[in-house]
Amino acid sequence: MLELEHVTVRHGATIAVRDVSLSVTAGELVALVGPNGAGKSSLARAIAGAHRPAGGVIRFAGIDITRLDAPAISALGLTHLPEGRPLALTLTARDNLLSGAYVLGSMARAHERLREVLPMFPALATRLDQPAALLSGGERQWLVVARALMARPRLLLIDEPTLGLGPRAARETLDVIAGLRASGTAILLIEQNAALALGVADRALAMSAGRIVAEGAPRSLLDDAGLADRYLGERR
Amino acid sequence: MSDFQIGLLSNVGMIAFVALSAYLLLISGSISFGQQAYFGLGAYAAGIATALWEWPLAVALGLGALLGGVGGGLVGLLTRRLHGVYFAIATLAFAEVTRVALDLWRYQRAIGGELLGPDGPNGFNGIRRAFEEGWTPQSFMILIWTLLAATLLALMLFERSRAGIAVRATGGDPVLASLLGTDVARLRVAIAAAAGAIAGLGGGLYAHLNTYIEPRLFDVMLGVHALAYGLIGGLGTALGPLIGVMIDIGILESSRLFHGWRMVVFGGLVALLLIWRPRGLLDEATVGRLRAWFYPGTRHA
Repeated sequence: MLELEHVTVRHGATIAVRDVSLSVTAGELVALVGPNGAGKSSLARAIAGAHRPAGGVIRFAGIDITRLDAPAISALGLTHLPEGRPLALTLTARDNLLSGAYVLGSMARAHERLREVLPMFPALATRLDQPAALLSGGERQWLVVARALMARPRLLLIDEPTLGLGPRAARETLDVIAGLRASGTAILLIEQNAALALGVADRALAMSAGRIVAEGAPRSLLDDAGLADRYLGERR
Repeated sequence: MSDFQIGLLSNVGMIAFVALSAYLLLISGSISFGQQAYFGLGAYAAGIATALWEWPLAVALGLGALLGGVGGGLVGLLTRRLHGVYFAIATLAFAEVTRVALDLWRYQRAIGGELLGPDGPNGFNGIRRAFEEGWTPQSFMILIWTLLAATLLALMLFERSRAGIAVRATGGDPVLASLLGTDVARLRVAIAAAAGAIAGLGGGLYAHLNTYIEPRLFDVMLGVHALAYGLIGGLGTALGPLIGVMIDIGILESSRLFHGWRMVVFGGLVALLLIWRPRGLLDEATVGRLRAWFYPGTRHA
């Protein structure tokens, strides 16, 4: 579904991502963990077309998307949930959801999709006509995930979905995300909260200083005490 | 209906076009201090078309809207990468350039033994086509409100369309909107063109009701008011700016209640609303509640 070969991302003279290769297949949840500044978000922005990589090739569903811009990439079915700008707060919850269905091409399809997505999030159904600014932190996070589903994505690229959430809301959010695999959606989950992310992932990658430093089953990354100590900031 | 009431309603209707023009940009996240320029361009174009070229009124109004749209679209194209205060300054600069250019422009012809047409700062006299075609102040007022109602209806339908949602999403967060698939730069140019056309249509009506226009009518105060109307009335629906115009022109200006203090009251009202209801009386939350109340069936879908 998603393949990266030797991708390098620069910010001016700084190299944020160095020679990263990875792949995500349909229905798979891959967690990308690592400390602050490891280059995770830079990599996500490069994949989504928000920042053009300095080198390497990114393929999505067999198409070379390395040089495509963000709207074109999202139209192919790759939905990026960036860190820190989860919702348009002045829009009602309904309009936030409908805006997620832009790539479906028509309002009729957007409303049809809304009827499919809403039952998965009963808490949102009664709050549709309120601006997102009035929703609680947990409700906003549901809304972010629900909006991502509106596009019928083939791959979700999620950056720090649990940022700012309490432990329980964080776990619930990750459970919902993990549940999306059932429909064949591929997920690349970027998290600083490694223990939580590795708990739901099928496969995991650890990044540090712009490189992939470990790859494998989530268990093996968690059990590698040295790795956890050095890169994941987790002491168990 | 008294002449005073007809005049008042006509004024509210015409100014509502500039207010809607500024509103359309506001909901897309752009603050323009320059929509008065397209109102002015529409007024001059439509006036020239009827008074000098002797076109029918309907075609001239169309030309005014078209020129407003082209002007708005060109400025939109040049400013499509500008945001916030930079966009605001750029739109103000273009509007002032337009106004000063109209101040310097002379294009006069003898029509029926009378010299007509734009005469720089002396203005443009004799735009009488509407009344020559048999429009009375009352029927012209109805024309203004019919066109305004059509524009409002079109805007309200647009706001519930896919592109309309994308406009609001862009207004909320342009980066997010682009990640969700919207070509933000193209959308902003299209919105600027549509907003220019709406202002241009209002300008054509204005020129023909007043029969006289001059460049300083289209100065920045009109643009500031146009913005304020949306911020007072609310950014949740296209009816918001109309309510803003009604409050200012319909109540504050016409009642003479506050005499010379009108602008002080108006300014104070804007300041208070910006503190208590930063997105106006009919903001998104209120409109959402009203919608849920009117259409309870849509609540769960």
